[in-house]
Formats: sequence, C-alpha cells, structure tokens
Amino acid sequence: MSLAVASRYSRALAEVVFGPQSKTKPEQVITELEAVIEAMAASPDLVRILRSPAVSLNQKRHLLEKLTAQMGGSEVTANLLKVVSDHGRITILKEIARSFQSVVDERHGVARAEITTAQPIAPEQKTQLEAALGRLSGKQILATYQQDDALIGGAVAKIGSLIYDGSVRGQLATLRRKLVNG
Amino acid sequence: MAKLILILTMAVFCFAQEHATPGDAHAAANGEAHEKAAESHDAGDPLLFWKWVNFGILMAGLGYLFVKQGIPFFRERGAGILKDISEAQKTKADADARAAAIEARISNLSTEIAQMQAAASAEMQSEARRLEAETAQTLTKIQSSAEQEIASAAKQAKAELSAHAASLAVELAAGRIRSSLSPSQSNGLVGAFIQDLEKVKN
Repeated sequence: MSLAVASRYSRALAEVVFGPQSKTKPEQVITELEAVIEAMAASPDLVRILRSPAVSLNQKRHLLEKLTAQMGGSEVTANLLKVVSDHGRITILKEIARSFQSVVDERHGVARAEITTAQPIAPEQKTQLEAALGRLSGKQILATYQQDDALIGGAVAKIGSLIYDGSVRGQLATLRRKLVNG
Repeated sequence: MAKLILILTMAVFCFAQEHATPGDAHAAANGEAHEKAAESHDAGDPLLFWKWVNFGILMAGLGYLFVKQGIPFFRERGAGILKDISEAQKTKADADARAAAIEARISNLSTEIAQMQAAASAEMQSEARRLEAETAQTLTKIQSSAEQEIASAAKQAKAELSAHAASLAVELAAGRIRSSLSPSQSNGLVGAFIQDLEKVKN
C-alpha cells in the first residue's frame, strides 16, 4: 500500500523535476531527500512533531521550511515535503525517495544491480560482469558489491526483482532438488 | 315359594286341628278303648257333616290358591329351569367348541413350533450370511485403507529419507568444495557465471 502511494508521489515529483522549466537536477533532489531522511532518523522528536495531529499544518510547514533552508535544499524538495506532510505521508518519505530513484534510473536508462560474491573479484571481472548484466537488461548498470561466504563460490546478481544465481550454493540447491525429486 | 309353604303349613295345621279330639290321648294309652271310642265317634258325631263341609271349603280354598298361585309359579319355575337348562346346554356347547378349538390348536402347536423354529433358523442363517458378508466387506475396506496408509507412510518415509540423504550429500559436497576451492577456481566460477549470463542474453 505504502509502495503504491510512494510511487504516485515519486512520479509526480519526476514530472516536476524533469519538466522543461525545472532548474533542479534529479540527483540533487535525491541527495536532499536522503539528507532529510537522515535528519529525521537522527531526530525522533522531529518525526514525532511531524506526525502529531496536535501540531497544526502551518506549524509543520514552517518547521519543514526551516529544515530545508538550513540544509540548503531546493524549492522542489521543500514543496514535496510540505505536500507529503499536509497529506500525513511523512512516514513514507524513505519509500518516496527510493521510488523516485527508480524513476530517475529508468528515465536515465540505468539499472542498479546488487552483486554478491563469495570471494573478492578482480576489477576486470567486475567490468565484464557489469557489461554482461548491461547487455542482459539493456540498461547501464550501476553495481554495488558485497561479499557472502555462504555462496561458497561464484556470484549472485540481483536487478530489481530478477535474480541471476551463479553461485555454488545455488547449484548445490538445484542438485538437492533433483536428488529429492528423483 | 315362601308364601306357598306358609299356605300349605296352615292347611296341614287346620286339617290336624279338625281331626284332633280330647279322647285321643287316652285312646292311645289303651288300644281297645280307642277302637270303641272311634266307633262311637264315627257313628254318633252330629257335626260330621259340617266338618266335611268345612274340610271341603278348606280344600276348595287350598285348591283355589294352588290353581291361582301354584300353577303359574310352577309353570314359571319350569320355564326358568328350561331356560337355565338351555343356557347350560349352550354354555356347554360353547365350552365344548372352545375345548375342541384348543385341542385342535394344541394338536397343531407342534407344527407351528416347528414352522417357527424353521423360520427362526432360516432368519439366523440369513443374518449370519449378512454379517459374514458385511464383515468381509469391512475387512476388505480396512485392508485397503491399511495398505494405502502403509504405502503413503512408506512414500513419505522414502521422501524424507531421500531429502535427508540429499541434504547430507549436498552438505558434504559443500564442505569439500569449500575446503578445496582455490581463489583461481573461484575466479573461474565467476567467469563461468559471466559466460552463462552471455548465453542467457544470446
């Protein structure tokens, strides 16, 4: 439910940011939203005030204006925060930012890949892997790497909801299913 | 009846009084004197005629009473006796008929008992056959159910055993691969993964 709502806000934000009259870059909005999210995570009182029905909408708007001004945020970001706060959706700001990132990636033809390997891999292999994934998805790959010994060997790549499993663990799991099913 | 007895008693009493004399007592004591007195009495009683008249009136009264009361009484009594005899005969006939029916029934009782025994025996045999068939059917069902349960349990046990064996085999393989996998082999696996991704694309 919150993902669908966040998607609506993020698409509306993308329409503004990618509009012909927009002077704000999408990456800037993303950075500003991440800063606000960090600030909210660091200050539970701020979240409590923004969620409290006892605090009026004008007071919340004034607080958010001050916050964005202190952070040097753009007008687009400030307006988004006001709208989200007015509609009582400040709690899903993180989902909105993530969804907006996806929309921006999609518009730029970028796919984010989470690559997990059992052992650290060489830069050449990273390049080859990203190139292979890029050809597979048809998009430019922005990869993040992490290591997991449980894979035993090989690698696992996740792009969105798609998972490409080339690990020894995955192959052993396939072997086990075959053994069980005869 | 009581009235008739009363009338007859009175008549006898009157008759006796009429014939009784004071000299009878002395005559009884002496036989000769008695005979003499009787002769003199029969011959010389001036009231003899009136005594007979009196006796006649008495008898006439008695006869009248006998005809008026006695005959209807005896007729009615006779009719009642006849009626009682008829009823007794009828009752006897009924009793005879009942006795005959009972005798006939008793004579057929052995046949009826035999028929009942035969019917009971046939029914018992039929019930025994039905129970036997039902038991056989139940046994077949139980056997079939037990066979199915055994087959299911065996299948499940086989599957569990297979899964356990597969898990053990995979764990063993994982351990061996982990212990024997060199960095170059690990890089080779990543390279193979990249080639697989290329194949997927193509």
